[in-house]
Amino acid sequence: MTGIRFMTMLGLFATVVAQATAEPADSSDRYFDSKTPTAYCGLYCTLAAAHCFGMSPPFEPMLDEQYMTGKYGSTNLDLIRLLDSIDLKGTFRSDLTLDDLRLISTPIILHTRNPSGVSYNHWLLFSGFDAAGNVMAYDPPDGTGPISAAELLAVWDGAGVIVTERNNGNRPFVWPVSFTSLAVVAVTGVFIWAIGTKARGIALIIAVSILSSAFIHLGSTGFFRNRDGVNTVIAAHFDTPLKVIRSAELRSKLDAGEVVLVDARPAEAFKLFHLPGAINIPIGSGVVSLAKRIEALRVMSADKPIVVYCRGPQCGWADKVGSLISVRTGRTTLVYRDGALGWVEQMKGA
Amino acid sequence: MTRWLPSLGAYTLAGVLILSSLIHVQNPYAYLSSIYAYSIVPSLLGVVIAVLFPSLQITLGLVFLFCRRDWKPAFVLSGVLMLLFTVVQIVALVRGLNISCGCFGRPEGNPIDWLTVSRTALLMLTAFVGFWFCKPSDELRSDGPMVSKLA
Repeated sequence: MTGIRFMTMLGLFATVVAQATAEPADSSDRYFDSKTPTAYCGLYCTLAAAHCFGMSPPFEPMLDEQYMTGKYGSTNLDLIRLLDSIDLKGTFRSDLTLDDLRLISTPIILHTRNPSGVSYNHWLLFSGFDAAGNVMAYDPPDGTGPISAAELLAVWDGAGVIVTERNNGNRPFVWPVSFTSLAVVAVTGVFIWAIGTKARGIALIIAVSILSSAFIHLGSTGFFRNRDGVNTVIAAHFDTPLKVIRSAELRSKLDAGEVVLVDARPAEAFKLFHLPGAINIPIGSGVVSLAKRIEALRVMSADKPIVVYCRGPQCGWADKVGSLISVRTGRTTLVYRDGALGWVEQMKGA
Repeated sequence: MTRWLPSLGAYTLAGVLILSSLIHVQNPYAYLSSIYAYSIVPSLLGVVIAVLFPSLQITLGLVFLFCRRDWKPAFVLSGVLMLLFTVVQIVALVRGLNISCGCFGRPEGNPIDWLTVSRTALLMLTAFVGFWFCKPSDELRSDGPMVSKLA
């Protein structure tokens, strides 16, 4: 799998080059803007998967409308057709598990969502596990690296396109149920069988259920050992109420270096203008990119509160990103509602 | 006819409960996300449900398969579970939520409609009919009422 990881890195390089040179397809009847690179996530993953097999297909033909027929970009059928056009074979499965990922030694394009969103409308490429058991992923357009298994599970719906060479007769074998599930059924079944002669009523059924739950969730991908995964799901659905900081207070704290400032706007807006010293954690960050930035934030001035802002008072991104940061880092997180616009106005006034 | 009703109901419920729970056990995070999509339960209760329900479903399914003497309580619990599922699906439909029912498979598939509500309601009916016609567990034991009478 080391080779696959290396080739994926090459794939990433190729996609970034392709992104810079390609003409966007006409997609006026779609729900996405074809000029937005995030709509190409499936295409990028396909290209990166091709690189895993030592192939370098051109990116321009992939921008054809027929490979982006979904509401938000490419569908699983689009990806299979696209893989077919570059002499690769795609097999779609909607019931993949982490055990399957461990057993299949070939790239898999996984159907995921962005950590801050609730809709599963994104593709990322799985390319193996590292020595520490982390998942190696390429998250288009620019995220690549390891994430924990729980972080992947928190954004993955179990669907994926398994990529193989067309002429390779070996079809990837996928177990109908995961080993974890089989183990749970076996242990619970044996338990019920063993106490069958004394089994009595509802209380016993509930007791067995609780034992079984503990068995599942004390495991390596269970809730008890992966608070980050659970918190990511919670943050996507619930906004944590964050305290508000006003312009004057923010300015004095910034002058004293007492806060870490986070800009939740997209990277393009951040590049044009941002508050002094701010770091960018854009809304809609991919799972790999978000994991890296959150990890960096965890150790960055750990004793200082974090202040998140976006464009202005009407913008809800700061709350969304702030909630995610708050639950993932456990640090005091505030929101600066006036945002970039308010800051500029204040500067003009001053 | 009524002799076969509990068995038919028990094996049908066993299949449905085990299939559904296995999918949820395989990816509990996606199951948690589909619970939150209903926008009914707070975050902590959602986690408790996501932890307990799949195991409860597996246990009920296995009781239906291997533990005939406990069918009555299993029918009651299954009926209550299906009643809950039916109610929350109706609430989601009335509120106009365009979400997946989270019954089987992926969070994005299987959107809630009157078909999914009817299917769950039918399973609830199956559980309560099974309970109604199921013999008490004592009558299934060799050391039950017969021994008492002889004593």
